[in-house]
Amino acid sequence: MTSPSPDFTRALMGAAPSLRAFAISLSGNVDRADDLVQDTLMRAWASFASFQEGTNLNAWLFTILRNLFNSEYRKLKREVEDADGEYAATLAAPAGQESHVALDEMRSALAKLPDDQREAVLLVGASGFSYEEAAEICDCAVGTIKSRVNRARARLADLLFEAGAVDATS
Amino acid sequence: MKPKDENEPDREVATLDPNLDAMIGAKLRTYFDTLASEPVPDRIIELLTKLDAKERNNPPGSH
Repeated sequence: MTSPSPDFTRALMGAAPSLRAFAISLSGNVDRADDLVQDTLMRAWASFASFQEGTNLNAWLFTILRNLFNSEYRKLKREVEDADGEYAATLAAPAGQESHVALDEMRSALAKLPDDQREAVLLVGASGFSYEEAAEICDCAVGTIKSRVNRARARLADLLFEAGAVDATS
Repeated sequence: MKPKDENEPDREVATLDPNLDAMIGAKLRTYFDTLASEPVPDRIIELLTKLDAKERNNPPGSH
């Protein structure tokens, strides 16, 4: 097949929410994340021919997004808002106060991680990719991904303890 | 306990308490799922709809 089918469109629609969650987490900025998702989908559409049917579409899409972010968006990063709650406020869903706090705490903890650890823990710990898939997405060794994920989780634990977000007694 | 050695990444798993590790894992997933449950903005849906419509109306090799 050389041109995108309706199934492909549906699959892209289906992948959009998690692509967007990944993009928001990487960029720390909702508007920029939406641009990134849009670019990713356009690129995916244009390079449909290079997608091998039967392989993991999600991993393919996350790879495109991740590479786009690194090549074009990363330099724009972290000039972003630090105002408390502003980030959560830009999200559409009327989440409860408590989940806003939890969201903000995780957001600011993730922002303190080195870039390579952040993407690794987002792929493996949050998006549900295997270590092997994450290694392919990041174009590095599986051991490297494992190491980054472990460091990231240890660091997140420190940061969230500091922030009081994890109750050690429960 | 010996200090963490940056060159022994795999040992770090053991240094994070399993309960804590599970908690961090759950928090990460909740965080991500909350973001992923956000409605995708119209402009993204529209983009895909347009691309798809263009493809249907004018498939490559149809002329």
